[in-house]
Amino acid sequence: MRDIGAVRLYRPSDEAQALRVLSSAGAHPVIVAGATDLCAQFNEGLQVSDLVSLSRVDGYRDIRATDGGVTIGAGCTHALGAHDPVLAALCPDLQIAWRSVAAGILRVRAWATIGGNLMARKPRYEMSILLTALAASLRFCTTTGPSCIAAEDLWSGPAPGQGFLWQVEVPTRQLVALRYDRSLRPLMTLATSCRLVADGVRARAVIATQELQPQVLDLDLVESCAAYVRDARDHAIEAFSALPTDFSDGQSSNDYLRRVGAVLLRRHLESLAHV
Amino acid sequence: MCKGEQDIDLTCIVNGQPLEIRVRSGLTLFELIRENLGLSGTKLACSRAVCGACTVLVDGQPAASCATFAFQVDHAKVVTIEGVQGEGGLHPIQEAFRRHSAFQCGYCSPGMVLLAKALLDSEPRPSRARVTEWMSSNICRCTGYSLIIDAVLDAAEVLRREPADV
Repeated sequence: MRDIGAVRLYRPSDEAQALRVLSSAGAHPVIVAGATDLCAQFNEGLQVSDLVSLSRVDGYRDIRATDGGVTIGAGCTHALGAHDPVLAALCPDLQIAWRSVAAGILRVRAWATIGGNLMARKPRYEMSILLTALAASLRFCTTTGPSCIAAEDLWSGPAPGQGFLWQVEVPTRQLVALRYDRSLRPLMTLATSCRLVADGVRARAVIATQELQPQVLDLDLVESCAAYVRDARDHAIEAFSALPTDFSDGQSSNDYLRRVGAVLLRRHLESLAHV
Repeated sequence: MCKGEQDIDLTCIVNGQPLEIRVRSGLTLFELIRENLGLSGTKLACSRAVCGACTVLVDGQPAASCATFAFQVDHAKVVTIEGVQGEGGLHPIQEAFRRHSAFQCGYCSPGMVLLAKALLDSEPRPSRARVTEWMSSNICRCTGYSLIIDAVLDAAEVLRREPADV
């Protein structure tokens, strides 16, 4: 275990104080919530001079119903999210999927947070896959004001300014269902949502491998879900063929991983047809 | 404005005893327990919250002391393996581990016993499947899982008859 050394610890009690701390602390203050991932990073060589703990900030771990969805505080732990009654009522499929994150590691589930899972920006971490499939948004508090990005832009968009992830906003209106398959993790994981739109049904599949950031497949099921599902295998293969991504890694070929993805997607489409 | 602190005053309860101590802000719970308090029963293995060797209980919940900062247990109740034994001797879970030879090399045992305590404190009648699922959170490199599961089920039965005093 590596000695973390001398650090300054800040424990703000509200958002405004947290932002003042972030703008006044050392060059690269690091946010700490559950600390499970951060401590692992320390052991891998991370060095920091300033830690900012947000555990005293009111509302940082709350789950609330909103008009059209649900917000999840960035400090919400996996254990809290997995049993929260508001989430159970508004987005039960997300809750079911959340229960499988760090499944079996009680220590991690009790302490690790949704915010830490996202901000670690590791492809194998699961919340960005699930939240991208749900077209969720990430709301940051920054020194220049609130900032909101799509979950998928966590990887590709510009990093929000100096600040911290405050909450996740999940739109549940028109959401029909979410499916999640982690049986082949970390080789490949897939989340697929199904949402009603003006001209039919739209599915969004998000696929991630151990090394690749989540890839998004938006599928218009315009004619009818039943017809689409009848040809689900062909659609799934076609969708994966259209992706420019080279999935290959040191162990598996691009063709193999595309075939795996197509099988997982077909299963999801077939499952969603019964909803 | 909150100030940055290189050292913090920590107040908590460890094994039933009030503790007030000034520690480095970057101190882990594991370091606090072993180095500052001299409680060497807590073991370190993976250093990344995965294996469970360093498990302690914080407010009754299992925590990886290697991946928890000491400041995170401010005003909390911490139980290490040294706090499991009651005045009357070994805790029924420890006795059950002994009866079932579930200690083997013993390195994972403190974490396993505390993990089992967290389960049986909240669920006095777990099924075998539940015990298996719960205890799979910790790793035993001797692969003595069956013995451990037998011991936890046995302890549950004993505790239902004779609740422990800790």
